[in-house]
Amino acid sequence: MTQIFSGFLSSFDPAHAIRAAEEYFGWLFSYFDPPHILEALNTFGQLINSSSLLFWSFVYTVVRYTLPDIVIWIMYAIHPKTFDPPRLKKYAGAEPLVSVIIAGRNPGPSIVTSIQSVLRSDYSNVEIIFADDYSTDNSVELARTFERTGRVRVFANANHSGKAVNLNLALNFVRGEFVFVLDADTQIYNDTIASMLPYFEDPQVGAVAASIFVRNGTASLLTRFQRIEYMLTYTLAQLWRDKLGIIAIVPGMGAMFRTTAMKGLGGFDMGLGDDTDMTLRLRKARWRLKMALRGRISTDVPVTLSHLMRQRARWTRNMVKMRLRKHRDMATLRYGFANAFLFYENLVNRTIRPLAIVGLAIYAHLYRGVDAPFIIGFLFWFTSLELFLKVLIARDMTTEPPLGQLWLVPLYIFYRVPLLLNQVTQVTRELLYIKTWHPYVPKRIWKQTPHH
Amino acid sequence: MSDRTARLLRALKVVSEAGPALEPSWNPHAREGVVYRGTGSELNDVSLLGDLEELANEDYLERVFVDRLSLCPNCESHALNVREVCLTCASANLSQIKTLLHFRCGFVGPVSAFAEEPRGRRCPKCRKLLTDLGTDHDSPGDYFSCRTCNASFQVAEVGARCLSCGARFVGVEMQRVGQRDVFAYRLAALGAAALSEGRLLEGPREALHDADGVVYRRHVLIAHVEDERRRRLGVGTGFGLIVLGSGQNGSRAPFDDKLAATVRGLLADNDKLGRLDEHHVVALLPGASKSQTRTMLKRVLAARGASAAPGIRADVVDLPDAANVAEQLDEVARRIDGA
Repeated sequence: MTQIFSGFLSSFDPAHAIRAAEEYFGWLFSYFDPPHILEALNTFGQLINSSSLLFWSFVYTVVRYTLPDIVIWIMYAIHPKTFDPPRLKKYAGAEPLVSVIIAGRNPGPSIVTSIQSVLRSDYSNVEIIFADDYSTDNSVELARTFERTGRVRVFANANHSGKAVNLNLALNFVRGEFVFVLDADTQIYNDTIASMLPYFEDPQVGAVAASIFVRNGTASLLTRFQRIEYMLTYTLAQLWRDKLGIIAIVPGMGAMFRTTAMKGLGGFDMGLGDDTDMTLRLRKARWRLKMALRGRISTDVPVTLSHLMRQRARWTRNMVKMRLRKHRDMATLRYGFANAFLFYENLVNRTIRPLAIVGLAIYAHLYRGVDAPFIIGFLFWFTSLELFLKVLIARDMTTEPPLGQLWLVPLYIFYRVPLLLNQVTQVTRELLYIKTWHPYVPKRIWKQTPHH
Repeated sequence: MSDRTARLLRALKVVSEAGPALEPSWNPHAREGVVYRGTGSELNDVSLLGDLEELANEDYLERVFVDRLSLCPNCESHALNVREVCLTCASANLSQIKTLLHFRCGFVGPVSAFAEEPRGRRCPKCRKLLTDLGTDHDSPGDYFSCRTCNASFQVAEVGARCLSCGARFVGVEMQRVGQRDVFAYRLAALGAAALSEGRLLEGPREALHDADGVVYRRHVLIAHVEDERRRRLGVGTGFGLIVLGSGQNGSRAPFDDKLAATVRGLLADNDKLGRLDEHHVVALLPGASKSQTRTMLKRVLAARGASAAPGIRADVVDLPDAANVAEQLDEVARRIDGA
């Protein structure tokens, strides 16, 4: 393998390079053949005996990313009511006012869908505040058509100021005891608010995260993968994190907050990653965060690869900026063990691990020919099996994704690898402070904002 | 002479004695909100308004728009108090508030939340000083705050209360609020002719034409044009329209009978000449193409050069299918006056 790879690299003859590439990929894909699975299993046995670093990284991945899902599923199978909203006591028979705030720039017709979803929901005591971030389309006009209902109010910002500012603008006008933050391309279900409200019976609960469903799940192959991904990496993870008290994100696209908690922090801070930042600030202020399995929202996800890559690049950079820099004080025990755990968990899983995976893959390819079948063959089939199991768990607990999407499971890894590479690139860029500005925040505001 | 004729002639006299036009006087106590009083006139205001409208419909008078009144849908009173009200509770108890945004920490709040200090304002969230508007802070905009229900909003609803019957109207109910245009009235050529003859021109021919029988009345002309337009839409036959005015050196002059007769002589038998107002007539050329209409325009303007029709001004009207005929013709009349 090393010879093939060296030959591929050293040759500058195009014909030779093409031949070498053919040989390389032929060799690579030969490990998808069933006979090689046995070979891979043998390699795995060798790895166990050798206590290789690759083996332990594999074990860590299973323990961290699959075991919690299995445990949470067993809990669900034994006692499903554990995942239902708490019984209403304080709010039984009463409907406290819930203020739904939406911030958006050029959302177009989707703002109509979002507002309608709230107005049509079972929960009637709501007010909707749409803060428009200086849209250049007819979004304001569309939203204002709802003002005559007396339940919708529209604020057109006089300048383009970014999402956080517009959420703060809307927050300035809320009258409700609770604030539901909703994205302009997201809609709620009939029972979403009613399912999330009971969690606030506990006066220590500051925010409740919603379950995210993908609305445009059949728009493209990418959205089909994201439909699976949201269930596996968000919903299932949130459920076990909820039980351990280490919810790491209350998503900005759909979550409910106690107004006093949010206003007590002065609203959102400037910069990117408003939801991550708000989550961590609430945690540091010792508010409890919950996940509502039945509080569903559905949203549009990126349809094209370029849009998806830009979105994930932003998320990754926000993660480094917020979790590792701005809130690095969580690393001490000053804010409690759970918060310190969260910091290190992020550092390991979302910063070191992606870098390590890529590093190990390169290492294995170049210097450990014996590991190649393990990486390509065994890992592929094992990951597919593991994903299959997780999809079934998600399906059982949330009815998503549909069983018709199961054929995508063996291909899922090919969706994740480019995202992983994107993640590694963005982590590296952010750690090195390369091009930190993002057009999400206007430059006049970015210049005044303290960066970490 | 019937009572109606005598009454209408008296109304014409009132207009003629009032000067260039009979202007309305605002009167909150009058049922219609306005009164028309001619010099020495003892006519009843309400019946006078009815007579003026009737005369205007018959082209004896020209209407000049003055204002538009809102009417209560319940009692038709003009005494409506229209004001901005709250979107949620319809209260008029509103205050207008200015917001500030602090760039550094993203705090948004009313100006009153930022304590004023000698060097600037203090941000309540991060305690930093705001000194330069546009550099470290700006205003996302102003908004209304309702003192009754505490709701805030950027664009207030419009509501009305009838001061006569007490009814309130907000939001979609405002669409029920009626409107009535208030006009001044001035004597048209036909009205002047009726006054000079001491009778209304009501014979079968006189009902359609000006006093001398050469020029159609305004409402008859407009009906003819609308008929032609319907034919154009239905079977595709074209027609031409030329608006003609009179006057020299930038001033307007009445388009008198002599001038109308000159123009009439240039037109084909099938063509129609109608009065738009005292200063303008319109030539309607059924079946004429655009180029034929242009040719006719040249002939009319050539007559001016030969001193047959001094001071005549004219232009072709391009009438879209959906346009209001009267408004379109008036617009062209104003244009040729301006030119």
